[in-house]
Amino acid sequence: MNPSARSAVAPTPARAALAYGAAGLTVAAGIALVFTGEGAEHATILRLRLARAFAAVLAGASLAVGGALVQGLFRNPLASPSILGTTAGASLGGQVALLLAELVGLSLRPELVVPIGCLAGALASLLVLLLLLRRTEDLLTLLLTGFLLNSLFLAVGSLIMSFAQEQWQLGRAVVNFALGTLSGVGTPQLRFAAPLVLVALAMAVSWSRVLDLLLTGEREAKSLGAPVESARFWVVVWTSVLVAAAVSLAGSLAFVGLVVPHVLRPFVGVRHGRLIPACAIAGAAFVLLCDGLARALPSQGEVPLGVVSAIVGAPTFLVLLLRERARP
Amino acid sequence: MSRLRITGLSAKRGGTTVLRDVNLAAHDGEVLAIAGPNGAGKSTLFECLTMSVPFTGEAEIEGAPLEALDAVSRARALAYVPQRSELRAALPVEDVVTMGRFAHGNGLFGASSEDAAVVEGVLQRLDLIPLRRRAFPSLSLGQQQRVLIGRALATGAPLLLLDEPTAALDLRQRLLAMQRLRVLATSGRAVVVVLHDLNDVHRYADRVVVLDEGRVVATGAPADALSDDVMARVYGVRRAGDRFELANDSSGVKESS
Repeated sequence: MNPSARSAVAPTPARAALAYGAAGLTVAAGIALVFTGEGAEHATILRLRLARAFAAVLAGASLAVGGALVQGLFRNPLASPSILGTTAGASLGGQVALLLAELVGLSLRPELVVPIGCLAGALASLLVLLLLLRRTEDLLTLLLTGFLLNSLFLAVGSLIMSFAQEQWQLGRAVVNFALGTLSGVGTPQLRFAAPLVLVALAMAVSWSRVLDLLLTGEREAKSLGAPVESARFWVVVWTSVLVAAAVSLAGSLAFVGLVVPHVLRPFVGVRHGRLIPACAIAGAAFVLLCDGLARALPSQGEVPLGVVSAIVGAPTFLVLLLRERARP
Repeated sequence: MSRLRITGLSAKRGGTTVLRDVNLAAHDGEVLAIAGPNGAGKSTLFECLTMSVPFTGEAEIEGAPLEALDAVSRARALAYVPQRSELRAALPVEDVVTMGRFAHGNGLFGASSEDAAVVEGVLQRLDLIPLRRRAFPSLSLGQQQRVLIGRALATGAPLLLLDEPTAALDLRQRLLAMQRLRVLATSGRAVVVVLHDLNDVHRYADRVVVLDEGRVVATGAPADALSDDVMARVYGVRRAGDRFELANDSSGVKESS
């Protein structure tokens, strides 16, 4: 598909993502490029931006659906991969993988090592959380345990950062994980992450009806025929895959998994069959928007995407929370 | 053949034995009440039957061991109505009733046309049509109870287990709920219901099983099983005319004048 044809099918936020960037093009020239697609240099820039936009779509969809899944699993709309430590676990896993690959001198490519590390980190953090919360459904315990895991993973991540500082490239990659960014995402990472995300999204939708039953609690869900134990296992697995894929592409992005399902529920309802696809679309749009802001905000380089998602997400969530509390 | 037969069932909670060698049977077309004081093991018995609490002994549904049934077969054979649902999400009444069709597996992501027809029938039968779009948590306890019974009926299971369905209801709602259970039994289902109010047991149950400290201490028609001797031993009360009073008042509670 030539660039102009590609841009013709892209939705508006994606078009903006393709048209705007720091690589020596004015906005007007970028827009013109999207519609004309002329020149080899421009095609390269467009390819990079297309990869970045695609990565934003995948990361946003993954984190928002991951949020809907953990909220269903823990029967709690305040749960999210970033609050429960899953994102930090995935990020730590990626950092450890990078460090190990460097120290041990593994011949594996980073685009392979990082997602495997992220997946291991996300899985481990969710499994630890489930083990710690086996006997309680108390909200405060859930949030405090998530906070504890989050702090622990961030602290270990900082330790790794201090180890990595001696080597500039490694240090930069490790810091990028912590702050969240889409710069530098290319086709190799997408080739690895995209199939994982697509499979995990399909699997998430396939567990929709069981997740609906889990809203009634374990005992009622079981009595209605829900395979509760296998649902827990597979929801943890697919959430971990989604979070790992998102973190391997974009690093730690806070609030996407918390805000997007929360915003959507009043419009699409609580049934996961509708909520999950809606989260995939809205999450993709949210991260595309945040990435656009990250590139547009005045800064020496780029404002980290994770910083933008937190600046946009945290107040949005606070407003939602206050509005919910004010409801009679 | 009994719809439900329990033989020598024992169960522990937190290392403490809460059910000991329980035997009982429930038949189609009858209301079987489970009575007993607080902590007698009534709710735990239901948790064993829904496989939420492990147990030893035998529990059979139509002759098939309960443990041998998978989750779906069990849900088709036995429907459980909790005292209160843990559902806090704003799910509409119609969707809650539709949950009862999960075990029938029609429709991958939602209800099939067959499921929709069954749900429609249940909504009409329980007069839930006006509430169908209302969010479950916004309903009164009596309405929630009706929805949960609707969900149980939607499963099509011939055996219903109801855990204190009248506990939080006012007098009118309680009478309506008990009449509903009688109608369900009359339509051929086996209805096993935990009841605290012994007046309801006398009025609506065909038979009663009295549990005390995890053991079956009496079983039979309410008038026989709830004898003066059982009332004194299990509840510590004695009959005084048409009412009960404490058999041995050592509570220290005095009536004020």
